[in-house]
Amino acid sequence: MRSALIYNFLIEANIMASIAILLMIPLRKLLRKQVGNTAICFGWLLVAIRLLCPLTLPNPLINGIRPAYLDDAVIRPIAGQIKVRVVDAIGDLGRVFWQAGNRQGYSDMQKIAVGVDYNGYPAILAWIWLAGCALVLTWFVWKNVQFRTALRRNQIEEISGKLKEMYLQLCIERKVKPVPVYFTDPVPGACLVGVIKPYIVLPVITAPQDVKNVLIHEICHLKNRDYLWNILRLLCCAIHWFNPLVWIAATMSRTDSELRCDDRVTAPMNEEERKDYANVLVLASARKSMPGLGVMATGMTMTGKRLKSRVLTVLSEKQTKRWLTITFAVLAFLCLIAAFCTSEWGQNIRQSISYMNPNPIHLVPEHQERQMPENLQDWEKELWTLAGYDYEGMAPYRSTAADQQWEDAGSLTRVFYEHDGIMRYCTFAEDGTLLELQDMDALWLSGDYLSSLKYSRDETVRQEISDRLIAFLDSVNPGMSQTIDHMEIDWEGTQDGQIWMSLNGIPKDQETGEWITFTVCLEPEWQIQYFACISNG
Amino acid sequence: MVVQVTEAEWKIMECLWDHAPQTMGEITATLEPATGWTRQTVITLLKRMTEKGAVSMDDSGRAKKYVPLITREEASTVETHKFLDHVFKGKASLLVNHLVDSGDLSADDLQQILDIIRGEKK
Repeated sequence: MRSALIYNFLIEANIMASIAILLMIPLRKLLRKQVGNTAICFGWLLVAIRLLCPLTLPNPLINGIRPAYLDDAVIRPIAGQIKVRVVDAIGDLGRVFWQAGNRQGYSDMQKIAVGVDYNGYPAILAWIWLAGCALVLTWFVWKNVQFRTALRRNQIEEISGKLKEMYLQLCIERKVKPVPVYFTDPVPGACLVGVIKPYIVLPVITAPQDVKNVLIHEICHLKNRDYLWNILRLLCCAIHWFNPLVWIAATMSRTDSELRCDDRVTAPMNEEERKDYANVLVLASARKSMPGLGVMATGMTMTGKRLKSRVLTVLSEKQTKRWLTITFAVLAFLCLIAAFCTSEWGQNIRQSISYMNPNPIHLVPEHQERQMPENLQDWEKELWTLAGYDYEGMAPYRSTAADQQWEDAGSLTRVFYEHDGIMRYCTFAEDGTLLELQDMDALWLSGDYLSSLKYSRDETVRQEISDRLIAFLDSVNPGMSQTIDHMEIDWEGTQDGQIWMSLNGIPKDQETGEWITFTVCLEPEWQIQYFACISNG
Repeated sequence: MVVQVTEAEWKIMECLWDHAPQTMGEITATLEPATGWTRQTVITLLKRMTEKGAVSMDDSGRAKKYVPLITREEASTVETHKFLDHVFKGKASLLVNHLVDSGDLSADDLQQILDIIRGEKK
């Protein structure tokens, strides 16, 4: 499976669900009294659905956010934006290293950026994610096996006699299909355990006067199907293990399930019965707390501030406003639908923007012609400076490249320049027109570089680069830029902290016109390392 | 060997420390009003306690009789250590500090503690 599909799902689900979780955190506090715990739990259910369903619905607003030059049609716009921004952020960090004089750091950042863009880092991350899922699931399974084994070992007997009669009567009253109830010792507290065949665990030391309330509590867990909620929580945490908000939400939703259970327990109770029930909760909290989130069991215990607010909620009269509850549920459901609208609208959503055929960069046709300088050496100095090189120290020697006859160029003069063992050359036509310029030690000439999209994906930057090259062309060969219809990017590459871009000036007359080619070094310094305005074919 | 008893088993031990030996029926009759435990519950707990060496069973007579194999002091020491480990990180001084701070110790209690410490030093 393509890792892009995993990223689409994970990124969209986590962004949308994280927003929902951040909304739920204050809402559950502010609206608990008004909308009730059932509505709060419904909100958490919608968050879980968004986290678990790899569903996507078309949305015209999404069309506008697909990044230019996202060269993989499978990546949806949101994931594409994240990818582009991550690559850019790494590149920016690299520039910080460069400015601090840390060339190695800069080079490393460039490699990482290119790796994220092309070289399989996303696939490696997808494997890490999968390994994380497997690890968390294994941990959950291990914790559950441990817990269940201890329960089996400590199980004493199934309840019987009058206690069982009372339990069955409670099940009838609460309209719940009875499940087995086992006395167990030791056990931290009463709980509903299991998913396929759930059963209730009752501490054998539960005082006879408290047994009824404890059983009602667990029966209400059964009625609420809280054992299924446990599975949802575990799945969300296992799949989105890297998102701390998901773990926070799982813990909060577990607390809310307990409060919802309390609501159901106390709904038919009078004030005295509520006091007794609150008393049971306080006593249960004095014991050890239940095993953590990873165990598929509903506990009864809650400590600290949460216990205080729980007891106050149990003792207080319900103030739920029905209209507010319905409004909350409807709005939450609409938000869920909106949270799934993450793919592009229309038929051409899968059309990829080709890297090799970017949008043309149109030239500004106006330019001033000028006379060539009479002194060729002065001009050489000027053009190398314009190309971004330091002419001082260059040692030119000339040769007449009589064996290389370009059509309409006459006899050519090739000037080689040597500086510290580095060779560069220029080729001039008879009238002084610059035909070629090349830094023969440019790293990209080896062909051993990695593709990059750092500059070519940004239209503004592309235009700036193009304008700068045209300015160079206007300076060295006045009038030549008018022959160009538009510029196209051929490639962008990076190696050892350098980034190059090669651009072709496409002639207006494509039948007979010549292509003008530039290869420019963009980082660490601007240098036109190759220029050719005439082919030698 | 240190024998640890659970909260439920402690109730049976209390019963046997008060009066031993006792039959299963006698233990059930004693505990039933306060706990609601049936005979089967007591059987299971006693079986477990016999296996771990907390009680022994004498089946020479008509009815099986149970006697405690550990004294209240031995069991209390184990439980006190468990409590200290759980609540006071195993430090008795923290417990004493807590009791003094909370005003739960009377002057007599403090005097007794001092006498115990002095006796220990001698």
